[in-house]
Amino acid sequence: MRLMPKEIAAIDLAARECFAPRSMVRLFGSRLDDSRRGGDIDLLVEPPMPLKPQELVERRNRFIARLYRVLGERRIDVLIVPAGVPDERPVVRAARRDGRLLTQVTG
Amino acid sequence: MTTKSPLGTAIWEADRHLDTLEAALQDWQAAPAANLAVLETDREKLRILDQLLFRFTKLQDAMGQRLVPATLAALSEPFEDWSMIDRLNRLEKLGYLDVDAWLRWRETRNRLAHEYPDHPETRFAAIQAAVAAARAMANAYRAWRAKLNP
Repeated sequence: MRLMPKEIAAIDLAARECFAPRSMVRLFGSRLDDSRRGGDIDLLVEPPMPLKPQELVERRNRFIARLYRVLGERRIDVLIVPAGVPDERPVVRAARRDGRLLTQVTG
Repeated sequence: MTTKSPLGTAIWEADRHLDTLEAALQDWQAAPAANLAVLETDREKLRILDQLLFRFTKLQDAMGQRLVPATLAALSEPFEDWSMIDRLNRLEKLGYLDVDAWLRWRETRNRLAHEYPDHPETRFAAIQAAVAAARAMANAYRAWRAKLNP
């Protein structure tokens, strides 16, 4: 996994500011591959309850903006899919299968 | 065109984008689409939205790339070696912008540049959020410009 401790700490803090307790944040995509360099940060956020579309967009926006502030502006892709809810999108299936848990928001 | 200061040039450019953006915001507001299906079958609404989002992007670029350095230069701030976030933080201290809002508008802009595999309702919510961001940013630019009072 290619994330610096500073990056993981920023993700953990931003998740606590933007998502409900018990939300899980996983890393997926190219950053899991140690043989590569750079690349987008792909995150899967699984909140315990579904969010309304407007709320989902608002929280994703705030979450990524918080990361820009600490890490500088960069490509960060965030998928938000409620935990335990089936989702057939290939990217979601891959993220759930391969994603590495970075943090779970505590209550 | 006469020779302008960097600040004058930055404002001239941003004003052009603001004019078109505000016209598009008015047209959108007069007949907003209720959902993605309506939007995607209404060419006129799509045209308005495209214009609105294009000018949102252009105004943001003009502010970030030209108005930020030109404002700091006009205020004799030693900003050349500062990172973007340091420049933004300084401008916030000086009362020109809200850094949190600015970074959210950056995220909205970056999102517009890529296709995401979102559900239709989420895509439509993102469009509505982008329109709201464009409106807020137009207001922020107006306030910035008024504060400069060049």
